[in-house]
Amino acid sequence: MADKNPIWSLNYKPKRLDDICGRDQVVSQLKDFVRNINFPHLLITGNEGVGKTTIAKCFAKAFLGEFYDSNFKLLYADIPVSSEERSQAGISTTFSKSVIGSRAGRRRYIHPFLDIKVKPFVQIRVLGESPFKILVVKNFEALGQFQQGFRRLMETYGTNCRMIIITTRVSSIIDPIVSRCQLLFVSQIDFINFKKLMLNIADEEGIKINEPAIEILYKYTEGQINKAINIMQLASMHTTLINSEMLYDVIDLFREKGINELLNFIYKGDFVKCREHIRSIRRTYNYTAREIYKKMLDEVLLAPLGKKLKIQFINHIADADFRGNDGLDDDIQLSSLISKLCLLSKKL
Amino acid sequence: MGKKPEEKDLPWVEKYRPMSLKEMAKPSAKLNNKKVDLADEIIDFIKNYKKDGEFKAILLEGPPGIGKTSIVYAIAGDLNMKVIETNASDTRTQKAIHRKLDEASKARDMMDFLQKSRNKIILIDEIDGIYGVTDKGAVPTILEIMKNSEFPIIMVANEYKKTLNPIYRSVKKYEVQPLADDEVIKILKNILKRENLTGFKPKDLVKIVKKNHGDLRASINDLQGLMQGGGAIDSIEDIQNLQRDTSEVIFSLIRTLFTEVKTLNEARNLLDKSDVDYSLLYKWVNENLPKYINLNDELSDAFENLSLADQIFGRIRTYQYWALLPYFFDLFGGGVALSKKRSYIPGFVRNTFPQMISGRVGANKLSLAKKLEEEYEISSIEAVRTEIPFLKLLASMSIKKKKEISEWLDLDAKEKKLLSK
Repeated sequence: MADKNPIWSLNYKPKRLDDICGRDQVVSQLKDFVRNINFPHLLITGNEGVGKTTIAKCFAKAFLGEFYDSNFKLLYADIPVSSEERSQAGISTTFSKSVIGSRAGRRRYIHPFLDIKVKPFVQIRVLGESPFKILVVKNFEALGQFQQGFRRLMETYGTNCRMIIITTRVSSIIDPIVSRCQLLFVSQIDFINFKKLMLNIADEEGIKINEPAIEILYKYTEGQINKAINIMQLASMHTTLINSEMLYDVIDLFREKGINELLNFIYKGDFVKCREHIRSIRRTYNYTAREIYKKMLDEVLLAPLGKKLKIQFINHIADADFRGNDGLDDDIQLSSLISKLCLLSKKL
Repeated sequence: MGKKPEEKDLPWVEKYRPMSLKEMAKPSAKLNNKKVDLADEIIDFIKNYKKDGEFKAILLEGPPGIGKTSIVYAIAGDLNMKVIETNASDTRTQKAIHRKLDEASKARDMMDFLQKSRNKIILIDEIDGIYGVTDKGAVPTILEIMKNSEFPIIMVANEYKKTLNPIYRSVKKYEVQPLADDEVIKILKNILKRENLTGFKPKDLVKIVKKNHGDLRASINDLQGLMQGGGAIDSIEDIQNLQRDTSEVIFSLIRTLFTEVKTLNEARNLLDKSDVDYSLLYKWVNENLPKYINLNDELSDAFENLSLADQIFGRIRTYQYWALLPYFFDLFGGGVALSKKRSYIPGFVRNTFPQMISGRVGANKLSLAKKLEEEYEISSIEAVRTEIPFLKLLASMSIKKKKEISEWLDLDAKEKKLLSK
């Protein structure tokens, strides 16, 4: 490995299908696809951070070979299309052009993601000698009602481009799409393989880690290898022998505190500070409002609040998320949420 | 150009566009902060244009409506040359720029065109407008046209754009200054005379000119709007109505909404009367609300109404349920303003612009993220969310590690600062 790179987790990221450890069933299936030079649309599911994208990428590389660069694209369905991209694509007609029929003159609403990001890639023919292009869409569930539009693209351009859909929740994907894809479940790596991997890395980097520490690591990261390696590297900055106590310290450091701090401001009832804080979090991590809601929900569940108050908190978060579905300005919905939570926490 | 307009409806701006330098108010210009005679400079450039000269093109930069384009046409008229113009309103050009694949061929078409004809000036108008920031192909295309052109190229822009730097480097840039007020007044008076219109008070003329800050085109348009709207005017109200939305208008509107409005009807009237774009206005309300309402219970009431208004507005926009619009107005106007009961406003409140917070990555961070992206094939969002925070942690551990990271990624000062924040 390159000595220059100081980040372990990037160093040990699998680059080929063979490098992926512990998920034999999925990998052997993908290898079959490569051997047969054909595969159907895929739907890859699994928990956060288990390596769905890495596997998809490794597979695409193996499949496309030297034409990987020109025939592969990775898209995030949950990242909003910027106004620049919008104007570049020059979407002009928002009204249906048909004159007769039920759709005549109606407003035509196509998700800009499909129109601007997916279509141009899917429509252009395959470059080089690979049988088709590969499009990977991450966080597909974020498309919501516009999945139908994607389904149409899958049908129309399926021969030109195979889609790999990546999601954490199959339940939020519409049936017509599920039925058009082969499902692949990427499971969490089992402990034996995890231990082997960790010891391997420790060996390579010249540190030692004992078994209880690995167990803690496995439990805390829920098998997310990337995260585990990062934590290990941070721990290794202190000593070359990592034990469980020392690992707890590092994990505490690693925990994201932004939302937790936000809750503290909320308990104090200081709206202005809360809003500043929430905006700075969104700027640093580029979170969407929905991600903030989810993170708040997670934190509220752990927070030291009474049962009743907790439910009230969750009620407000749910309400904000629900309204944000229709609304146009996330900042208003977030502000509204924190103003209500600030009021609630007066009763603390 | 040369034909005499006969229709009455022709905009005055077109009708009185100068055909010769003698007819026009010459804008002054600066070159490297030194005052120069713009007309002389342009004529000099056109006459001495050589294919392998030092500068292939010149750029006129300045606020809209002060005669940048007109001076080029006037000079072309004097020298009996033809102007080939492309600008933002030319859809063909826009498409050519947008569709990267078409681009190369379009450029070639243009080149063929250039080589066949003679005695022409190429005018690229509004170059800061059409060539979008992310459109990487546009700047090289222009540079290529500049390199191969046999005719002088004159570009016009309103403001400095960072992305156009490669172009700035190879052109002579003139900063065109706005016209003096009395010069504009002189031209307006002249137009009134030629239109045979009387009864316009000089005082009102001054008001029009003052409002437009040296923008001759806007002044002429306003004048035409006033005159054709019903002959002479005797109040300044019409001019006030012509005022475009400015932040000052929104400021005072918000102030009135929160401090003076007592009933729902008053709020309605206030919003009805104002011409401010409401899709913008409710964002202003969101931004400035906590400054006027500081008690938590009232704040929460106000935001409840505002969030509902946002939801309704979303439905209106997405599904075209325009029947919902009255609810939207009442909720974000009266609903918000009347939530204030006991809150005390400490004197004058300085209103602020609504902050735009989007999922987009900031420029500094983006450059760092892009480096990670290239190095290890992760998306820039992934880099921002997981790798940059981790790098920060790692960098905070030891100075040596920080050095290692910045050497590995070849960071500049700004990016290093980002790491240590």
